[in-house]
This record gives sequence, structure tokens and C-alpha cells, in this order.
Amino acid sequence: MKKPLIFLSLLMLIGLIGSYSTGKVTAENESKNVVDYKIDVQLKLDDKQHPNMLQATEQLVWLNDSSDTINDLQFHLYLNAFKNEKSTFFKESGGQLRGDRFEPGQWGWIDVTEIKIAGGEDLTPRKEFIHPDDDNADDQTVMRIPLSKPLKPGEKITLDIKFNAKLPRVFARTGYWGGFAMVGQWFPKIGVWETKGERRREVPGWNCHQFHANSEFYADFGSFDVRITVPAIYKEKIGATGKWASNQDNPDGTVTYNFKQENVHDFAWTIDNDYVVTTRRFKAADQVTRDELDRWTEKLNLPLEQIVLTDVEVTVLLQPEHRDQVDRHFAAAFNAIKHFGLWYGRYPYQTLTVVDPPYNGGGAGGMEYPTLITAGTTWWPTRAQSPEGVIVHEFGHQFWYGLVATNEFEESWMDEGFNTYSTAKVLSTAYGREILPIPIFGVPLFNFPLELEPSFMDRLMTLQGKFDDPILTPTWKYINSRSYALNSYSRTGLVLNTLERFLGEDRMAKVMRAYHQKWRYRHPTSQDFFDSVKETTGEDFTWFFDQFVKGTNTLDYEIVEISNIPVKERAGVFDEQGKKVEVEEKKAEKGSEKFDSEVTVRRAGEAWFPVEMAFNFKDGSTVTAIPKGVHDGVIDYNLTAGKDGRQWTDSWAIKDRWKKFKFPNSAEMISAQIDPAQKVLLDANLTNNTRQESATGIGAASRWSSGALFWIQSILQAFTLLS
Amino acid sequence: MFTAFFKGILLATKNWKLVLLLLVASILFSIPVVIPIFLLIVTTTASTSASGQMMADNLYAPWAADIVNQQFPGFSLESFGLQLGVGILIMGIGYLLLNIFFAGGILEVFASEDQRFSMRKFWSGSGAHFWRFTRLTLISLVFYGVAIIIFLLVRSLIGRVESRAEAFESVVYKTWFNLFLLMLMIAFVNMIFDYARISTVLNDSRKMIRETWRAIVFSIKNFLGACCISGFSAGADCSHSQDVEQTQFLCLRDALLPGQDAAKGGRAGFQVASQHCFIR
Ligand SMILES: [Zn+2]
Repeated sequence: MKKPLIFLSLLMLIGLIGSYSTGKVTAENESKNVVDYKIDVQLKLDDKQHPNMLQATEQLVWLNDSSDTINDLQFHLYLNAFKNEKSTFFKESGGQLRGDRFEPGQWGWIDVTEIKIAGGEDLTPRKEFIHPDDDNADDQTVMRIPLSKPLKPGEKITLDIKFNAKLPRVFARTGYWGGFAMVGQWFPKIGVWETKGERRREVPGWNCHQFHANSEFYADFGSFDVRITVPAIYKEKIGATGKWASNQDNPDGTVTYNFKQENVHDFAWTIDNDYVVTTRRFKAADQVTRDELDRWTEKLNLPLEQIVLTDVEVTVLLQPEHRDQVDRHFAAAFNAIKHFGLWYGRYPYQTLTVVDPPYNGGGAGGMEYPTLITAGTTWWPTRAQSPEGVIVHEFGHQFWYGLVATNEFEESWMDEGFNTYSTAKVLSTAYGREILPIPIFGVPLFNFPLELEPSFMDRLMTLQGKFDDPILTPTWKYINSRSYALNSYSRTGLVLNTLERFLGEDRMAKVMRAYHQKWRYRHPTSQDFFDSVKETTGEDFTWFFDQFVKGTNTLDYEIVEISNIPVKERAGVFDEQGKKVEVEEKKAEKGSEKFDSEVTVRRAGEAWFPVEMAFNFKDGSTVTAIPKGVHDGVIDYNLTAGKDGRQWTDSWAIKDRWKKFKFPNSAEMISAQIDPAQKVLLDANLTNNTRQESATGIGAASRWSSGALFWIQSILQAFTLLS
Repeated sequence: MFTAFFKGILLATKNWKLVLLLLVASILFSIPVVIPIFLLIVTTTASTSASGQMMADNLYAPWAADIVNQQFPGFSLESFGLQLGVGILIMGIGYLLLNIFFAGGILEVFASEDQRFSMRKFWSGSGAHFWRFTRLTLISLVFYGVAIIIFLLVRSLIGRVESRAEAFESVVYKTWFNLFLLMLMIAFVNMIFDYARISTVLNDSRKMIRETWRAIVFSIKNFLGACCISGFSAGADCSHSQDVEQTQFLCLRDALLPGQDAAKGGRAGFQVASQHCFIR
């Protein structure tokens, strides 16, 4: 009876895959349409034939989705960050452009020339620049429009806007270079109105920050319908957010393209007359095997229809000199669509565009926009995972920024850090460990492979810096951009990786999936993630997040000492039945000596963690100490002897800096190890996590210093060229 | 010319004591750097399981990361790179002086009647020619300086093109050509001063500027032949070091250390021999 059943379910499965891959997906929880943009933009060349002048009309329908009555509107005018050296962005970043200064004609700006309520009042005279984050009166990146008639809850307002803009020379994400232009953050974008309680706000108000050196973006979901008119040289050399809807040749020799996309919160586009344009289809049915679907269904304990992926039309816009890397670009994009989709839920859009900026236009690379990402590669790629790493990372932002739209200004760890963690997972699943060859003048002459564990660089970059800021810090309030990068990227990567190793991979997969699905098309806060972890695991991780996301304390456990005191048989003179009896010392047989063993473990940092431990004895036995819970400031340990299965308990008060574990009358302890499974990547020093009773490092030291001797000799020999 | 090549190799192998001496000297020179490395590894891995991991061929990543984290707080690649560069430069100059000293001895041995190593010949040659060779090296620095200035000039020209480029392909070949040009210029200067040194020993000359001039004339006159010889010896050096780079097995790699010094002796012997075959 079993066989037919399997056959039947197989049939059903094929049917399911068939229907899902043709895109007949029942609507998932879609976003609320807070914004509805219709933009008509014309791109013109400047007198040096650079594509950098924009002239546009924008119709915005905005829904007051709150229970508040709203008296003003606030807009981002990001391009004004590049207007002059007085902008907050320039002051914070020092205007670094690889040592160069902006040359005349390379600045960027945006001018709102008209803003009207459709068929009504002209609001243009009311516009003013505000600077909610600092006192920089010269910053023009936020525009405020007071309304004469307040907007009631649930009411919509339709605005007709006209604006002119000039793109800067590619600088931070946006701009032109030669015949290339990456047009991002280019239109007046309305801020996010947050009602009381939304993202745990106390007072309702606009969330509309200035453009800072380290900050990214935050906006409401909605739909975009954008018509782009470009000179004829850019015909078919264009890419944009969303689906291509139509195009037409105009009598004046220009071409107009129309792109549309729903359920997104931004729109970007790009042109380059040099683009080599290739489109291929990610066919879910071909890319994901039945086995994989089954495995994920089981792993996440979800029905199959929630696991299957949908097809995606992928377009890669390459520079001609990178033409031979087209397969690598597609493979990376396909891997990303597949693995992110299996892990967190299918990529819901029908298109993805991957952009490769030109040489010297790298400032536009490595950036994410809804359904469009910019990557970047080199003429002679020497690393195994570059450009793959950046493609996977930027695609990852479709999930952590695009779909789960956290506030990148205030909680950058929730997009960059979550993405650092998930990118590493996808890369190691799809490509294995990164191998770094050492190139000479860009040529991979010596393929001396440096194999790296995914967490290696995160540890190297993170743990040496004593933390100046908690991870959870608004981007413009970190002590410097190093601290921003360290906390938002690598340290978060380590925190989530540690949590995964603590929970186990499957439980963590469930946590991340549940969090992603719950908050897709919404704006969660850090606390929402913490709650989501609690909800899925049933455990309270406040202690973990308080210390490692909201705190700056260092975590470091160390084994201080192992001691073994021989247990002696009684010897000497004893009173027995009124007589003096002398007992001679008896030597125990070799190998069966008993010891009172003791190991001292210290919490060297301020932070604490329920670490596991293992103690090894000369007779080959091991005792493991597994934390079974934390209560009233005490970590309870279950100790298990591997040899006879004997169990007992012990405890370690959190406030105590050290703890001695005692093993009376046991075999000689030869080594002890904290965190033998290496779960706690946050431990700042792993070298003190183990201690051996006897071994010395002479062998290893000889081996490695002889290697050093060789390299020093080789370098010195180069100098003898002159003798 | 091939006879010269084989003669050189033969000369070096015949004088194994010389090679041994060079090896011991260069190892002694590296010891002050190697000992701290040795001690660092001993102190940080002793009594931990890292020592076991470090015995494997791969670098034990957690240890390596934490060595940086713990031993060098505030570590930054930029400042470390600078310190390392300055350190290497200072060591390199010291080592260069040592080799200038030895070069006199090597050439004295090879230029002698029986071409056999003896301590007396070696040390007296080293002492006798050291100051002359140092002067030659100082003169050579001017030539190297000119080569580097030409390289930098071309580079700044390329840089101007590069900063406006929209494709790397348009500059990469220029960059490589410039590097090739630099290597060619260095090889030529190098060759000139190799011959100047040989001629100094053969003629027991004290007039270094005159020897430089003669070597320039010699190199230009015998340009093709001289280039071939230098090319050969550079090729031998390169292939030798390539072998070494590609070697993953530590013991084999260490066994190649004397090979490096043999190559150094071989190079000198080979050049003396080739000089002989040109002159005679
Ligand atoms: Zn990112």
C-alpha cells in the first residue's frame, strides 16, 4: 500500500511545482499601499555629453494610514547632500573621494520647483528645509511643507510635484561617470509617518532623517509607475526597479521606457551606453531539487507551498571588459535567489537586475534597491568569491531592507548585520570556504590559498576593538565610521552566529523564517526581533540581547589552571585498639593512581554566557559540563562522565569571576576546554579557552618559525640583487 | 655561453664550503627576527590545544585572529604595513651590506687560479673589496634612482589617464608595460654593476667610477650576450624561487634554504665564468 501513496504524493508534488513555477501564487501578505508614485523623468546630457541632468514631474498619492491628524509633510531630498561642502553628509564624511575633490560641474543637487495639491492649493511658497538631526542650517536634505488643511486619519492627499536635479559625479552610491549613470535617491521621497506605538514610538511624528555619511534609507511601501526618457544612445542600455512595461521612440530622437512595480519602497534606475545586457530566467523547478524542497519542508516544519520558489527574470548589465564574467554573475544571482528563498521565504518579485558599474564608478557599486542591485568586479578577478560575495550580499538586502523594511537610519544592524550573517551562510552553502590567492600587481601569480572560515574575518575585525558603542545605536551617533561598520556588520554577524550555534541550526532557521514572514512588508524594530526569538523558541533571551546588542561588555572565558594532587594511601603511625600501628606507604600500581583534580575557570570579561566545558582525564574519560539553565543569577550545570554516565550538578553564580570544578579521587586531569564545540564566537580570546596539563608548544613553534625563517630569507635575498 | 653557464654551476657546487658559510651567515642574520616569533608561538600555544592544531599545515584561524586581537591591541593593517615595511627595509639594508662584504670573498675565490675555496682567500677578499664594493653600490643607487624616477614619471602619466578612464582595460597594459620597463632598467643597472665588481677584482682596481664606466661600455658592447646572461641568471633565480613558492611541504621548503644560497654563489660563479669567456 505504500508505493501508490508515494506515487500519488509525487504526482501532487509535480503538480504543485508546476503551478508555482508558472507564477500562479496566491497573494501573500502584501504591503499596504501608503505611497503611490507616478514619475515622468527626462534625462539630458550636459554640455560635455555627460548624462546628469534630470527634469521630472511626480504625482504622489499619499495615504494617512495612521489615527493621527497630520499638519505637515516631510520629504527627503537626498541629492542635496552633494550640493556643497556645507551639507551634513559632506561634513560627516569629510567629502572623501579617494583623495580627489569635486571638480567644477561635478556637484549634485535637486530643486523642487513646484508642489501643488492636485487641482488645488499651490504649496510651493510654503516649502522649507529642516534639519531634525543636527543644527546644520545649511543642510537641504529634508524639506517640510506645512499644510493649510490638516490631513485626517485614513485620508489621501494627491500632490503634483515638478523638480529638476543634477546628478553628482559618482560618489556615494549615486551619480554619473562618462556615459554611465546610476540614478538612486533621486526624487522627492516622502518620509515615514509613525503613529504612537509604531516602532515603539512614544509620540507620533515624521521619521525623516537628514542624509548622513553612514546612514542609509527608510521609506513606506507602495507602487511606482515611472516613465524614463533618455537620448537614443541609451536605447536598450537601461535597467530599473520593477518590470519593463513598454517603450516608445519619440519624434525628437529620444526613447521613453516605462517601468512599474508594486510592494516596494524605492525606485532606482541606471543607463550606460556600454552596457552588455543579458537576460536569463531563474526557473525554480530547475534550480531547486525535490530533495531540497523536502529537506526544507521538514526543517522548517512548513507546508510545501510555503517552501517552493517562483521564477525570476534576471538581467545582468555588464561592462564590456567584464563580458566573460557573465556566467559568474548569473550563477551568483541564482544561488542567492535560491538559498535566501529557501531560508526566509520566496523572493516575491518577478525581476532582478544586477548592475556592474564602470571603472572609476565603483562608488555606485555594492548597493541595494528594490529588485535592482549594483555589484562590481575587477578586470582579472583573483578571488574565488568576488564578485560573488557582493552579488549575494546585495541580493540579501532584498530580504533585509527590501522586504523586511527596517529603519536603516536608526537600527542599521537589522539590515547590514542580518545580511552579513545570512550572506555568509549562503556563500558557504553555495561556494564553500573563501580562498584568497595572493596576487602580485593584480595578477594571481602565487595561488597560495588562504582558506578562511566564514566567521574568521568577522572575529578579526570585531573583537580587537574594545566596543565603543552598543550594536543598537543610531548610525550618525556611533563614535566614528569604523565603529558603525564594526557594529552594524561584523559584530552583528558574530552575535547572530553565536545565537545560531547556541540554539542549533534548525531552531535558528525557524526563528529567522518566522521573524521574516511576520515582518515582511513592514517596519520591525529591534525589540520586535527579540520578541520574535522568544515567540519561536519559547525561551527568554533578554540576557543575551541586553549584553551583546545593547551593551559594550567584552566576553572572555579562560581556563586558568589545572591541578592534580595525588591521593595517598594512609601512611604513618595510627592508634588501633590501644596499640600503635605503623603503616608503610603503599605505592599505587602505575596507571591506577588517584588524584584530587581541580580546574579553575575564570570569566575574564565583564559579560557572561552559559558556556559549555569539557574536562579530559588520563584514563581516556571525559566529563562534560552543560549549562541547563539560568535562574536567580546562577547558571546551573549538569556534569556527565562520559565513561560511566554518572551525572551530578554544580552551579556558577553569574556575578562570580571564577569557579573551581572539583573531581575528587579521579584519574589525572590532562586537559580542559571551554566551549569545545566553538559555539560562542563572541568569546574575544579563544587561545585561553583550552589548557593542557603538560604539552608545550615547541613543536608548533618550531614548525611555524622555520616557515618564518624561510620567508624572511626569501625577502632578504631580494635585497642581495643590489650586491 | 652555455659553457659559461655550466662552468658557473660547477664552480658553485665545487665550493660547497662557501655555500655552507653563506647559509650559516644568512640564517644567523635572520635569527633576531625568528626568535621572537618562536617565543610568541610558544607562549601563546603552550598548554593549549592550539599547539596541536598548529602542527597541521593550515594556519589555525581562531588562534591567528586572537593573536592579533590580544597581542597587538589597536592593530590596524595600515600602520602594521608601514612598520613591517620599515622593518624589512632596515633588515634588508643590513643584509645587503653583509652580502657586499661576502661578494668580495666569493669573487676573490672564483677569480683565483685554482678557483677553490679557502678561508684565507675568502676573508681577505671580503675585507679587501668591501669598501670598494660599497662605493660601487652607492654609485649604483644613482642609476637605480634614475630608473625609478623614469618609472614614476611614466606612472603619473598613466595615472592621469587612469583617473579619467571608464574601463580598466585601457590602462592595464600601460601599467604592465611600465612595470616591465622598470624591471628591464633595474636588470640593466644590475648587470652593469655585476661586471663592475668582477672587473674590480680581476684588475684589483681602486677607481670605482672608472670601473663603472668600463662596465657600462662592456654591457653596451656585448649588449645581446650580456642581456642573455643576465636573463639566464634571472631566469634561474626566478624559477628557483617559483619552485619554492609552490612548495607546500614544509620540510622540503626548508631543505631548499641552502639551495637559495647555492644559487647566490652560482650566480656569481656563473657571471665570472661568462665574463671570462667574453674577455678571452
Ligand atoms: Zn549591505
